[in-house]
Amino acid sequence: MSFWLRGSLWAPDDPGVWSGQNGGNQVVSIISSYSTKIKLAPRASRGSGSRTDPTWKLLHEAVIAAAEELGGEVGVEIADYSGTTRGVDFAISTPEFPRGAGIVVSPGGEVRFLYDHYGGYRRQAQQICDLVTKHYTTLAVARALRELNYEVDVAETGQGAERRVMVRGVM
Amino acid sequence: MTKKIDVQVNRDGTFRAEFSGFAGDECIDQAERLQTVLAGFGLVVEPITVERKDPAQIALEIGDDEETEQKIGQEVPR
Repeated sequence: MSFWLRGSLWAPDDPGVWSGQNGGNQVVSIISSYSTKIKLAPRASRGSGSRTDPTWKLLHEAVIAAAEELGGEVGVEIADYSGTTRGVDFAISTPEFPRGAGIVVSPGGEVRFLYDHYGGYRRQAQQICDLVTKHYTTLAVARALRELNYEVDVAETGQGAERRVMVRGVM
Repeated sequence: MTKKIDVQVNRDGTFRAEFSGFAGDECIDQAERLQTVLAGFGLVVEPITVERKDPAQIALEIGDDEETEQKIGQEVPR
């Protein structure tokens, strides 16, 4: 990953590199886009207090935030189209999708979303999953920037489908 | 010069990060450090695209910063 970044971006002998006027130091600014995946600490490293593990707590916060945004509730069970229930680590049920979408965390820390969208509920179920991922990303980015000693501000912009979160770190 | 990292998080959890005000290799180092720290918080990120700002965009950033510094200088009472 780091090699990819260096290979794509920085070539010290590249004649196209611009020399800025910032006290003789070369100023470089980049814009990067990233895909994300949630992967919690493995159960072995979480130990007996797995539910107090920081990554687990982040996920819990993200679940609560997603449920609040959709006017839903957090639980530990989801249902299929026939009403059969199944236990999960976290579940979010909403007025639009009462069966709920569930989150299961494997012993290795992989996060899987589980739901039965039968009957035309694919969009509603995916929306729940996307929102959990969005909130987790926001929380993780804000904490990571603070850990890197940035002052952090978080704000929401846009409406509906255009709604985005801006996290700014300043040093 | 103020160092800034602006992160725009999309509805599906992907995000765009804009690094500005860094000198030389520091920009890339910060991007890599951010990825490492994010992994510690349970978020594995893969870069999809990386673009370098062009000189005009960077000049604008520096110009904005100098303007801000001058304004602050003017507001400080003697």
